[in-house]
Amino acid sequence: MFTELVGSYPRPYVLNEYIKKFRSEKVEKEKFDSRMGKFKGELLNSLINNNFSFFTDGMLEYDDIVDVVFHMISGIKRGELTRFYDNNFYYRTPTVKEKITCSPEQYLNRFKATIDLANKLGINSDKIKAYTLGPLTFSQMAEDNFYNDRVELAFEYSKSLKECLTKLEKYTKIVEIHEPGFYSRTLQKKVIERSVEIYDVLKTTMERRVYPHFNISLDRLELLFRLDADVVGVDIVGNIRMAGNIYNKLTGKKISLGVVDARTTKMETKSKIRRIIEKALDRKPEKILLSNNTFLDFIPEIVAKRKLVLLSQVAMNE
Amino acid sequence: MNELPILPTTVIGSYPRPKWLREMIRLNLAGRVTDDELAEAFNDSVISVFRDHQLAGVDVPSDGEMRRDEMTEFFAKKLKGFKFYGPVRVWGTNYYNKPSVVGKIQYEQPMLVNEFEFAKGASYTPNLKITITGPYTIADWSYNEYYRTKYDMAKDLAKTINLEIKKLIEVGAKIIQVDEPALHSHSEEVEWAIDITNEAIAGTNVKTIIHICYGDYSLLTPYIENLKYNQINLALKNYNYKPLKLFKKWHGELGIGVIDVHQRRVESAEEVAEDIEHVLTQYPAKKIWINPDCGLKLLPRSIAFQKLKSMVDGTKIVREKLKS
Repeated sequence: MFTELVGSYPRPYVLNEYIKKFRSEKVEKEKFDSRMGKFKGELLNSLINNNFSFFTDGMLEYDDIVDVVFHMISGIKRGELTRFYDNNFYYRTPTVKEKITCSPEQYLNRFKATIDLANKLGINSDKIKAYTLGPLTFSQMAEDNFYNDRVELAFEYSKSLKECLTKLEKYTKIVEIHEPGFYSRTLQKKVIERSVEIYDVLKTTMERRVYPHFNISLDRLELLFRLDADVVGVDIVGNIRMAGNIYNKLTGKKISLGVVDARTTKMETKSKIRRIIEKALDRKPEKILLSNNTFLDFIPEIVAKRKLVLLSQVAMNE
Repeated sequence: MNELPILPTTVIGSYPRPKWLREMIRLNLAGRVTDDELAEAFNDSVISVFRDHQLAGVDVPSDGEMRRDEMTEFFAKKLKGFKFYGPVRVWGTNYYNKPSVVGKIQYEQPMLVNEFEFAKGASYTPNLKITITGPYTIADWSYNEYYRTKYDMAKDLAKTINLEIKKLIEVGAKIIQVDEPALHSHSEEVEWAIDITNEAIAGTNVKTIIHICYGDYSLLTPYIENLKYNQINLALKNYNYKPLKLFKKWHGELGIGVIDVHQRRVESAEEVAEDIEHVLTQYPAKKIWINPDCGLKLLPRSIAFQKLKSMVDGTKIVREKLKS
C-alpha cells in the first residue's frame, strides 16, 4: 500500500537550537544551510528506508503551516500570537495590510534546495511534496484590514496561491494543501458556501492533496469530497468514535487515510490499524494512501519516528 | 495581606532566569556543579528577581518561578504517573517537555512548599503571590495513555493540586494564582473544566486568582459565573483589548494584561496609562488589577524589567488622575 508523511515532522531539538542562533545572526547562512541539509537528508533517508511512497521535507525550516504562507505570499504581516485550534501550539496571525500577491522566492529557494538534496542522495524527487495553507483556512485565520470580505479574501488568496503553484510545477508534481480550519465552527458560512468555487481557482497541472485536520463533521466531509482535489485527507484515527459514519462516505473516493494519531504518544497497535484499513477498503475507495492524521509537530520526535515505522510496517504487511 | 493601592500591579509568575543561573543549571546537568550549589544559585536568583520587581515597583511580586523549567513539566515530574518522551514545539522555536500520563496520578510530596517558604523570607512585601498550574491545564497539556477519559485524569489532578494548595496555605500563602491557560481550548469541555479548576481551590479561604491567556475567550462567557475565584487575570494587550467586553458578567476582580510578553518592543508608561484608561471606561477601578499578558520568562531580562517598569509607571499615571 502507498504511505505518505503528511505535513511536518518534529523539528529536532538540536536543529531548533541552531535555527535560533541563525535567526539571531550568530551563525552564517552557509553553515546554517549545510546543517539544515544534514537534518533534511537524515529525514529523507529515513523515510526512504521505511519505504514511504511520498513525503514532505518535514517542514523543518518553518515554525508552522502559517509560517509557510509568510514565505510565499506578500501583502501580509505577522500579527498576534494565536492558539492553533484546540492545541497547545501557537502561530502568528497573518494580518492583511494590502493586496496579497504571489511572492514565492524564499519558499522556492528552500524547496529547490530539498529537491537538489534528494537528487544528490539518489532519492526520486517525484516522491517529494510541496505544502501550503489552503484558502479556506487562510480566510478564517487572517486579520483582514484590506479586503473586508472573507470570500473576496479567500478568492484573492487562491489566485495568488495558484500563481505560486504554477511556479512550483517545475520542481514537484504534488502539493499538500492544508485546511486545519475546514471543520472549525469559526469558518464563515459564506466562505463554506463558495468553497467549491474557491478551490476551482486553484486548478493546476499539479496533483493537489487537501488535508483538513481535527474533528470531522460529516456534512463538511461531504463538502470536502466536492472540492477539486486529487486526494483528500480523512483523519479516521482521531475520529474513531464516528468511524462507522465516515467509512460509509468513502466509496469511490481518493483518500489519504490518517491511521496514526499525531496528537497522542499512545501507540496504535498493528491490529487496530489493520482493522481500520480493512473497513475502509470494504467501502471500495478508488485510491487509498496511509498517513499520519495531522502534523507530527504535536508529539515528541522519538514517538513520531515510532509511529512512522509502525505505519510503514503495516503497509508492508510485516 | 497588607493593604494595596488602587489598581494593584502584579506579575503573572515567571521571569527570565539570569544568565548565570542558566549556566549553573547547564553545569549541574554536566555534573560539574553539585545539587547543593545549584540550590544556592536558585535561592540567589529568587533574591535577584525580588530586587527587580521591587525596583520596578510591583505591588504583588512572585519569585519568578526560577526553579521551574516549564509550568506543566515541573508538576508532572513531582507527581506519580507521568513519563517524558522528549520536547515538543509550542510556538516558533519554543519547546516544552510535554508529559505522558502512563499510570494513576498520585500526590507524592509537597511540590511548592519549600519554594514558597524561601520566597516568603526573601520578599520585600507580605503581598506575595505563589502560582501553581491548574489541573485542567496539566491534563490538557499532557498526553493521556492511561485514563479512560480526560475528565477522569483531570479529576485526579484536581485532588493533587488542591492538596498542594492547602499545604501552601498552611505555611502562610495568602495570594494563590492557579494558572489555567488551557481552560478555553475545547468548547465542549469548558463547562466541566471550570468545575475541575474550582475543585483545585475547594475548602480554601485565601485570595484566589485564575490566570487564563490566549485563545478564544468567548468560549468562557456562558460559564464565567461558575468560576469560584476572586480574580481572573487575562492576556489582553496581545488582542488590543478586544475581548474585554466578554467579561461584563464576571462578578470578581479582573487582572488586565497591559504588556505584550511576546514582543520585545517596550511599551511606554504613557501607552500603558492610555490602555488602562480605556479599560476604566468599561470597568470600575476598584475591580481592576494590572499585570503583563503572561509570564515574562521568554524575554531578555533587561527588556522584561523595562516592561515591568513601564507597567508600574503607567499605572501610577492613572492613579494620579484618579485622585484628582
